[in-house]
Amino acid sequence: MLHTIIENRFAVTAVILFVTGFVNMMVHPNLIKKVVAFNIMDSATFLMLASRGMIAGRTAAILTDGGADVTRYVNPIPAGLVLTGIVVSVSVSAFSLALIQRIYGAYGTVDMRELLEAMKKKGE
Amino acid sequence: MSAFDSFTKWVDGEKPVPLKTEPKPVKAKTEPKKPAPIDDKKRLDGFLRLYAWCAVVISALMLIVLLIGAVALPAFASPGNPTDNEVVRRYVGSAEHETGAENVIAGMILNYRGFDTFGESCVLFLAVCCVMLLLWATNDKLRAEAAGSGKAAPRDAILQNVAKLVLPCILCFGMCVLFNGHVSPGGGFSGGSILGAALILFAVAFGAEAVQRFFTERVFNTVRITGLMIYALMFGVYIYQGANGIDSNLARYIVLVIDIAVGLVVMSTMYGFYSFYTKGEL
Amino acid sequence: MPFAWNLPYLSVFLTMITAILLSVIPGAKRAYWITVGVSAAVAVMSLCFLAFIVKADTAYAFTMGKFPAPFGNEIRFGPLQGLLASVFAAVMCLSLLGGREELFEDVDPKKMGLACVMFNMVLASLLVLSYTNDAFTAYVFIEISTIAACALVMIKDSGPTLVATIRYLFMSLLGSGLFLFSVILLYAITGHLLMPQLHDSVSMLMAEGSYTKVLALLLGMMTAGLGVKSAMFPFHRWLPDAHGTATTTSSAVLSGLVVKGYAVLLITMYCRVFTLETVRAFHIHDAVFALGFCGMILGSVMAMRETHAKRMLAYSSVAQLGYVFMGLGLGTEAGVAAAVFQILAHAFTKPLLFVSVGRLASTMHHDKQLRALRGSAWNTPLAGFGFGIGALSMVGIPLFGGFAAKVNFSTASIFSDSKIALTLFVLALSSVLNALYYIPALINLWSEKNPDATRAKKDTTATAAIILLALGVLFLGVCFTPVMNLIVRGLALM
Repeated sequence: MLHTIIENRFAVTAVILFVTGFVNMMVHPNLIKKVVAFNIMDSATFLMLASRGMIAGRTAAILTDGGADVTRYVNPIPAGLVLTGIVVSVSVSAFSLALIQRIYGAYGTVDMRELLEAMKKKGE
Repeated sequence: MSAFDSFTKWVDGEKPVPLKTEPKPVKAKTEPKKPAPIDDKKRLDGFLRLYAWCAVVISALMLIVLLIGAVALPAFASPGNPTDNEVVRRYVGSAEHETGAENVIAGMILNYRGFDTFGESCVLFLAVCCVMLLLWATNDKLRAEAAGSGKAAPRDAILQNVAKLVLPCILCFGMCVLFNGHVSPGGGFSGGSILGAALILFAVAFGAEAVQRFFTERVFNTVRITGLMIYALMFGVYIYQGANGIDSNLARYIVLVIDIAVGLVVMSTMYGFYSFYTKGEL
Repeated sequence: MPFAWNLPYLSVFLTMITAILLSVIPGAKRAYWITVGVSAAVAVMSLCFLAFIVKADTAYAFTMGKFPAPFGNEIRFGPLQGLLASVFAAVMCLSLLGGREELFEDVDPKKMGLACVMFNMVLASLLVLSYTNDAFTAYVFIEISTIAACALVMIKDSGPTLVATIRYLFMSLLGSGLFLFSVILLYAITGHLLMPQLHDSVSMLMAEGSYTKVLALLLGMMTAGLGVKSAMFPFHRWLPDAHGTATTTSSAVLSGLVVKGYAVLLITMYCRVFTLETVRAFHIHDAVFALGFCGMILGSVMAMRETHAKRMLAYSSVAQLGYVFMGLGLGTEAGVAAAVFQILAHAFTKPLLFVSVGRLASTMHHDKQLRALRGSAWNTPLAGFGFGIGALSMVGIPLFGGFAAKVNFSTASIFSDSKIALTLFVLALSSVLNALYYIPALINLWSEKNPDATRAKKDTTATAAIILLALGVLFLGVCFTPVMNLIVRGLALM
């Protein structure tokens, strides 16, 4: 049991981080913290992905011998996918932070519960 | 109230609960109702607490299920795992010959899987558009809001002097990463964000007006749109040729050109975020 | 290769390039009409392409670049994808036309170009989500669709829409996070991202019986992730706020199209990658059926409690999406075909209802409470008729699209072993529940005239949109057999 866990230590860490992000995103009333939680969730996904590409004893996929020996390099695919994922998460974070800035301007709070109360007070 | 009256009211959409016939007389025993707001708040609190508990229980279950899945995955870093297959061998073995990129990752994201990366650049583009939709101060109300949120910091002599020293280095490094993306670590996304960071540092140290002398809204839009359009058109032609079996050498140049185009997009995007956040315009 | 095979890729690039250029083209009107023109052009292109591919009776994998399947990106299209793309583009065009007046009132003229960017990007992502043959491309375009759809909610720049947008955004992010994680797990055990190779590897793993735990887990996560995004029952809470507060065109596009894109992707994943046997082996379909079942009933019950016309329609969307998931949950080809038909029928009906309500409310100072809309149908009889057709279709009156969808579901249920009774029961119950809020709303709209209503301004584009959408609903209701045959053929060629 312990052996399999250690064999898959990155996957296990990633899963724990993913659930941490997930639960915080669901329950935290503070919008900014929800964004942070989302970023934790995404980082967990990237950790998982990046760990999939690693093969012991090989180096990064920048060719020095023109690709003559394919067993010298690690898997380049996860690295590319992580890059895509990072760009997406940066974009989404920027969007949600801008949204939160406007919400703060409109209601003066970033707390979901206070927000709902403020909306009710305004009759919206 | 007759049943018909209540029916018409329901049709009008007045009452939240449909088909409620005459309300039964309230029993005398019941206490007078508490004021509504407190009641509401209590209900909201109760709901939120229930929601939190549900979320925790669901997440605990999810954690257990996911852990079972994670442990069952192929072992980390073992040479025989399923991801180490013919696709990887093809990428590593032929990237330099097929795409002209020694950096296999750059070759992969900009050529083999270039459509994904085009989508990714569009995500960045969309994010800037969304930030502009939200924060672009086109009317007085928004302008007042923006002025309140991002007060210009006082000029700082230390910052300015350090910036004078550091900026050229950052710019050179960024250019280096950007232009050598196909042969060494780096590329459009990393080089572009370094250049964007240089612009932001410049704006912080010398004020946004200093940046505005050369990076106006017009330049911002031109750089952003040109970058993306180069990508879209070049890759569009490439796809057309590839799918229709037209022979060409485009595949060998595409990585470098698109890398630079992406770099321009990322740079202007980064500065765009900063600028719209702090003052609601460029 | 005939030139027509290039049309899907050209339509995707046309919408994306237009979107990029629109962000700098000045002029609100110009941006709007370019968007309408592009979506109409895409609809025409897709129809031409559909005609070609039906004649050729085949499905084609189109390499996006020089390198074929396991190495480069790919899109794959057959009759089903052609049909979906034409309907998506046509409905997008009609929704834009139908909500024109309100769109120009709600959106800051300086930001109209940016709003049109979002409409174009939503269309592009819908096209790619139905065409894609690559699991990771699907993820990237899911994100594009998420951001653009959230932006569509907030282009009407008011407090409630901002709050609705952030709730929508967070729920969508949970959904795409789950989807990405499941794609990564799939990659970890198969080493592929392209769907044909994934299919081979998954069937091999199933035959060997290895990694079954991971497969079951990732199938569940993928279903849940896409379910969150298409408002499957327990994850539907974001939908009424987002769809109810947005401007008319956005509500129509979001309710009619965006949520469908994810459902279509789920169908593609089920049929092309996992096969229905795998889904049945892990009993995922039972869970989907149960959630669809609950959604159908509870969506309608919540719609009954609503007093705001657009929120009522939004809750009704939850119920209608429940039908889609119920069809998927039958776990048979026939059930999936019925679900696709429901997607088409709802794609015409819901925008028709939203556009009609928008028109009706424009005579009542844009007050969309049902109470305020009393008697408003007399001001714009056409919109009243449009609402009537939509409502009757939802209830399931013969000759309308909704009826045909229900017939298909009941026929499909016969082929499933154990769910006949439940399916027929829930179809009957949900029809009654639908009638319980759509018929009163209809009576309300056509009751005696309200004296302080303003006469509706003439709006030719909205008139045309309502007529064409209503014709679409009628067409699906009358000629459903050929459409159904096309869908079944398309699923077989998936």
